[in-house]
Amino acid sequence: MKNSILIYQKIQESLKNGIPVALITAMNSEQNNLGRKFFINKNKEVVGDINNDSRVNDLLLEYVIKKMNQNVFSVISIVSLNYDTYKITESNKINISDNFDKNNGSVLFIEFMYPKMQLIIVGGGHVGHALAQLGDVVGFEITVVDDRKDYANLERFPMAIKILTGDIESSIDSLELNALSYVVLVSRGHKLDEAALRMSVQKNPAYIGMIGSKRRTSIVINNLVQEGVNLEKIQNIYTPIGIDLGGQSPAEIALSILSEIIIIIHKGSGKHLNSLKKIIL
Amino acid sequence: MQINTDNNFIDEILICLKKNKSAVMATVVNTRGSTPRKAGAKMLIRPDGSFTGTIGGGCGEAEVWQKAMEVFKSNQLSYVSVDLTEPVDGEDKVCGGVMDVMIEKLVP
Repeated sequence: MKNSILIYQKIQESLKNGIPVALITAMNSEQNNLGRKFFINKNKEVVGDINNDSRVNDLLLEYVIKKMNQNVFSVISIVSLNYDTYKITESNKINISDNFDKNNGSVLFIEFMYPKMQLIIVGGGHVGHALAQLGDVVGFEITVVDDRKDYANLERFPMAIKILTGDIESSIDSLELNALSYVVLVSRGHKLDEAALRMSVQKNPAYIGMIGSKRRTSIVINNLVQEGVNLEKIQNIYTPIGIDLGGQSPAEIALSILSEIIIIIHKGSGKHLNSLKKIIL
Repeated sequence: MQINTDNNFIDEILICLKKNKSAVMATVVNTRGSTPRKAGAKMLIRPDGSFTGTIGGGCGEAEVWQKAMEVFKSNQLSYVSVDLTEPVDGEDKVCGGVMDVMIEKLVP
């Protein structure tokens, strides 16, 4: 494939700017296209094409953007594109020993690539600290929000790309949250949680979880409901937070919270794998 | 996490393309049964035979590497099916599945 530098530069640039991208590769030699590449990002910028027929490229653009907007994180997608009907059909499984060229059209391999996901930790205490450490290892971009500079600083959070120490509500307001943002409220008191939650729900992140006892979290939620915050948004908040791992230490709680987030991202069951499949002897 | 793109890997591709004027990319496109990596996993092979990234390690990677060196010469996109279903007492292929790998040459 020629022009690779241009395409990979564009991928690099888009991801650095937080824009998801898709790279399409022709898997068969229909119209002598084998290996031809077409880059699309979520802002509808394109590099290259899969076909000289602009209608085909437009169809693919539409398909990719639709996939990206579903907020389901597709890693790859294999599709067949029929040149008679201009139809895109998803084919879950392919067989490379089949002759692709029997198809009347292209078989395309579509890779979706996403920027790093953000973990926004509100509260730089024990749990927040453990969350930052674990989240960093798992691959999140870490942001810490706490109005106490003694807690929220680079010595304590060297892995953070952002540390916001101003007033909690305006700190969260200054963040750009999206479907790749996971917000965890582990602050030191329900007043702060309330402020953080009020602002977070307006910004539609992928996840909001709030730590606290039933009493503490229900005070916060009741206050927001009385303020008239959209009920559906409040019902989507994860509280009590985490998966029941049984641990108690700050690190164990952090692991439980991250487990919840990973289960949501990958649609995992949270069950023991050995309960899902019996070992064949 | 799988959905995060490893930015370092993209950097590696660009460095290799700028320096060597070519690279071969191996991408898992399809798997059946139990395999170490799933579709989308990638490995970049440089003209000197060195590589970065992993599609699962062991014998599978060796087969892919060999094909990659051919692709440097042929310039033809090709496929290799890595069969990991061989008997357990043989080599390290105990995972039990099959991976289809697409191997393509990239030029600047």
